[in-house]
Amino acid sequence: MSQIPDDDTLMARTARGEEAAFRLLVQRWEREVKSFLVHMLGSVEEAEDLAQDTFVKVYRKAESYRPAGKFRSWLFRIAGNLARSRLRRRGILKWIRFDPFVHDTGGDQPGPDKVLEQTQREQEIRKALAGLPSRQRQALVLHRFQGLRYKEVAAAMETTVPGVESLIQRALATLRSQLAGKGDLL
Amino acid sequence: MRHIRELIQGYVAGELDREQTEAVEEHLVSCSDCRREAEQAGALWEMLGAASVNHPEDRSIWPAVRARTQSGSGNTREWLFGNGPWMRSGLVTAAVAAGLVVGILIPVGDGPGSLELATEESSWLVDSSWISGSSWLSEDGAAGLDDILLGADLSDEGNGS
Repeated sequence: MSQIPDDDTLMARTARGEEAAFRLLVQRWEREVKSFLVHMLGSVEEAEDLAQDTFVKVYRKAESYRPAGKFRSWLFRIAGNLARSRLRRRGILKWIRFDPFVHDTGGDQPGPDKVLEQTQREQEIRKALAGLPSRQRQALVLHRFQGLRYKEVAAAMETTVPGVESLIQRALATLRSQLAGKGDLL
Repeated sequence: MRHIRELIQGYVAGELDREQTEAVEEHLVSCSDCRREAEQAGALWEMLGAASVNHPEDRSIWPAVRARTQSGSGNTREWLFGNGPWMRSGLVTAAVAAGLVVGILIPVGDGPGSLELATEESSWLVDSSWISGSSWLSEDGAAGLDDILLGADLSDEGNGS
């Protein structure tokens, strides 16, 4: 029975020039990275673009990568920095309109009122999410959508666990106030 | 132990250890305020989860990544401007100098809107964060002057120990 290589092993093999190892790494993580970037940027096209940038960086840093079993945090640190850099550019290039969370949902399917209502609510949530300061959004997205534990988020964002807790608390407080009255229990 | 109320979000998110979880649950039985807080936190947590975007594309980015790593080309910016430390520091210096010049030349406070104009222009000119992709700005997007003058930490993806 063949053993599935872990990320650190794949990085070491990538550093030795094994393309198959790098390919496995990309295919293992690309979906999570793209999902994270879509939540951060609100655009599938930009997410794909930055996901490529992320893995190109991973490839270039393979030789200097030090295996410590924290590949995921390191990967999301790279993706997060790229995303925040992109968001800063958007903030300055004000003529580029940010359209929060425009994404292909597989076409317009007219559904019952309940589906419409749900869709509207999701759009409101995504819009509120898109309005958060970038570090708060990054912490929340990594934790809630990518499933990283506080400790992993802290490593990805180069901060402490209490720092992550604080970012997430503030993000949720903002979301709650913005979404007040739009949910059953908010 | 921290106050129970401070643990509620961690409880909802499943981040507490067993002892903390039991303490929260015990408290929630007797405290209606905290129970309501937990219900609201849980509702928001669920709403967020429902709003998660599942990336619809199954198309792999591997071919594009492979092409870029094989050709040695990173991205257009690196191709145009390079990515060495000398280039970064040179551009940072140039950007700061340009920002200062604009800040001096544009009158501030002489008329309506002039301060905003100077600030916005300076921000545009001093922002060279795209060069490195590093985190130079504060959470609210304000660049610290020290960060800019010191060139900030450009090795933000080092994976430490």
